[in-house]
Amino acid sequence: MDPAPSLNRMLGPSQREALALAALARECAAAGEEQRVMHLRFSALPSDHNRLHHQRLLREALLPLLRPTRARLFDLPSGDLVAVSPPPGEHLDLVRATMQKLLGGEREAAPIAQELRLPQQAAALLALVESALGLGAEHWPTTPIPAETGGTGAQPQTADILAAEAALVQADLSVHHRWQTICLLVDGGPGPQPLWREQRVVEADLEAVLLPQQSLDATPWLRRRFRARLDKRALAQWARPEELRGFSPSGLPLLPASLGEEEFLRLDAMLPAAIRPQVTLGFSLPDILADPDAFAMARRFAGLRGYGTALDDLDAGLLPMLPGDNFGLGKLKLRFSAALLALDGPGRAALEAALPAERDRVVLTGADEPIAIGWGWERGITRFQGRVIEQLLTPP
Amino acid sequence: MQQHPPQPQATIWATRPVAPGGQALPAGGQTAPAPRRSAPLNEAVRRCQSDAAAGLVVAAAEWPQMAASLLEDVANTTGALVWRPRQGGFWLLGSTAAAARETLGLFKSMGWPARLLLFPGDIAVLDAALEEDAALPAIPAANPPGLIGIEDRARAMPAASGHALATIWRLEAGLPKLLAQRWMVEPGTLPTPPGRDWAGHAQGLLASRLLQRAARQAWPAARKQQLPLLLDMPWMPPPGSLPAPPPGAGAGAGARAGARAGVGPEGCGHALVLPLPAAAEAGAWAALAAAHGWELAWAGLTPALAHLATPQRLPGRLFFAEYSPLVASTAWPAPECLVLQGGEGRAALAFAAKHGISLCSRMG
Repeated sequence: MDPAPSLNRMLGPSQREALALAALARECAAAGEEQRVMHLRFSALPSDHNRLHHQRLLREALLPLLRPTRARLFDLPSGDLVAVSPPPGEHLDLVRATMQKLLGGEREAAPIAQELRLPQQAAALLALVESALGLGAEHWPTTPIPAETGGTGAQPQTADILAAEAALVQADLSVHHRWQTICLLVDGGPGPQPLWREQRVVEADLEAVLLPQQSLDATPWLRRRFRARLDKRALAQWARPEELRGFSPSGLPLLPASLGEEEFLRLDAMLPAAIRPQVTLGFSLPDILADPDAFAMARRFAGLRGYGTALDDLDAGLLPMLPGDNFGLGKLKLRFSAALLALDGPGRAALEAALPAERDRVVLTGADEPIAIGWGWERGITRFQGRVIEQLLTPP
Repeated sequence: MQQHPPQPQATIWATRPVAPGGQALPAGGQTAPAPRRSAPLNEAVRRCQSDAAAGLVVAAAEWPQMAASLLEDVANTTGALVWRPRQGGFWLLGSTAAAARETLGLFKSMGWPARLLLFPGDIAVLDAALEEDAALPAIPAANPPGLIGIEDRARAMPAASGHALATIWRLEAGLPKLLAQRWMVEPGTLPTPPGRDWAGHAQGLLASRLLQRAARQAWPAARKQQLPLLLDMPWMPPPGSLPAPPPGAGAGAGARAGARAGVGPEGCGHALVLPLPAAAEAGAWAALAAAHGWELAWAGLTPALAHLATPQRLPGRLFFAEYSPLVASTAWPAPECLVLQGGEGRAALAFAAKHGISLCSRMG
């Protein structure tokens, strides 16, 4: 009994899952099909455990037990999790045992991990779904309980980061990926000539999902942890054989220390020597300054293995901080901003003096408006990345 | 347990977890009986004993996976073995002389010391290492300090712990001249697992407490009124406001500095010591600090970033660097602005005296 398509659009993902669970309960009742149901009532955790990161830690402990099995999982709007498995479903017993271990005993775990059997208890399961949707008599909190530091933009704690890192291992990142192409675009020349493509994760969106109502802005060291885990995910994805088939020149923004991780080294071992120069590894200035030793190692290793390198996403205001050799990196990716248009004469002269003389090493990124292209051309820059380029590449 | 890249050719590779110090741990848990030599290792040793094989021994412990990966690459193509003895390091055994020489070059360019071994001539070196490996007891896996609750632990610490008052000084005509005091975070007070970011976060938590004490104007008792005070800051975005600097010698110097651009610690004002990655927001920090009567100083300079240690590149006139022999062989653009930490050794003192460099010491 799927809801109508128009309704479907109005529902959140967890509400749709609740409806799917209700449909399953009805089907099993109608067909007399046997199923074991485990209702993990995270929303009913005792108050000292009822914090967002505790809930998340519990989920992360349980999901690996359930994911590889035939159990179907339903995330309810209440924050609860329902696992449905055909009998015998021993893994549900394992889940219960794990809950007991995590919560301190049988007495503590019993109200949290409740079992139902289909088809006999289909009515109870339907009632549960209704109340999870806020339709039943029993009151359920419909929003997750905010963490202790609550409120928008709260500073996450180390425990939150660890939970987010664990969640990141399994999170679906595909919706947060964006591809952009770096193109050669010459004044009066032909259209944009693609040079390489770059994959980037929209970190802000992902943070909003994994660290709701928290902000990593005030704790840059913790943000680097989060990004290190993102790097690992991206690198693991790149090292799949199907990704390497039909390989085209690509850019990878990374933390320097990620080159010492096994995910990168596995990819490195898979890439033929002839392909490596077509991979441009990008490092940002704050990342270089935060861990100069890791950067020195990464730059040497990249050189040794023949990768292309770039100083990634540089604010033009930071150009004076660059050494003459651009930290030994091949390309300089300069971020365009409206502030560049407002520079006075001396400011413009200083900026142009700081740009590498070989302008083909410079890429102007954030070229979202045509004026950025014009600004670049005036300075002899012919390599661009941004919305203007994407629009030019998309056939009308 | 670490995994290794898929190995297209028959490779003999003993997978061993690595302890934080880079030492190989015995496979399969916390302790193990005296190691039995694996068949592949026996075979590689036999080849080194009888054939004209070559090898390499590498001590690289800082980036063990990367070193292993480089060696494994060679091992894959030459049918050699990568051996990780318990005493640490990596051995490439049973390779060809040409491949071993080429790999030696790779390690040199990474800055990792390595030694070429030509068998069977060098077999005694290998035998000694095999014996040492067999004699070593199993190394128990070190339990890294926990992370959860580190914020609470920092909050619960007594007010003054984790903080120290250091002195900035310079030798002038053979006598130490005191220039400033630095109220700083003592590294390692909050133990963390290995990793730059955790250490940085722990240090940031302690620096935040310094900032809170400064906001209450609770300055350290040993502060000398006649010296400017430098205050360690966490890496964070420029906040809305800052505490007022303490009264005394450095007060108002920020305003003076605007009129008379000074360099080095002489006549400097009270200053905020920012971690180097905050330089990405240097402009905003400089404006904020000046508005509240502070100057800026920068911590975390390394020889690779020596070009930044000058007021021409970063707004500030003091740049802190941890002393190392490499620091002493680096050409610093403005030595008078450099302050060495951990440089109490004779070589460091001589280097500082020769270039008019200041030192940051815990001594009064």
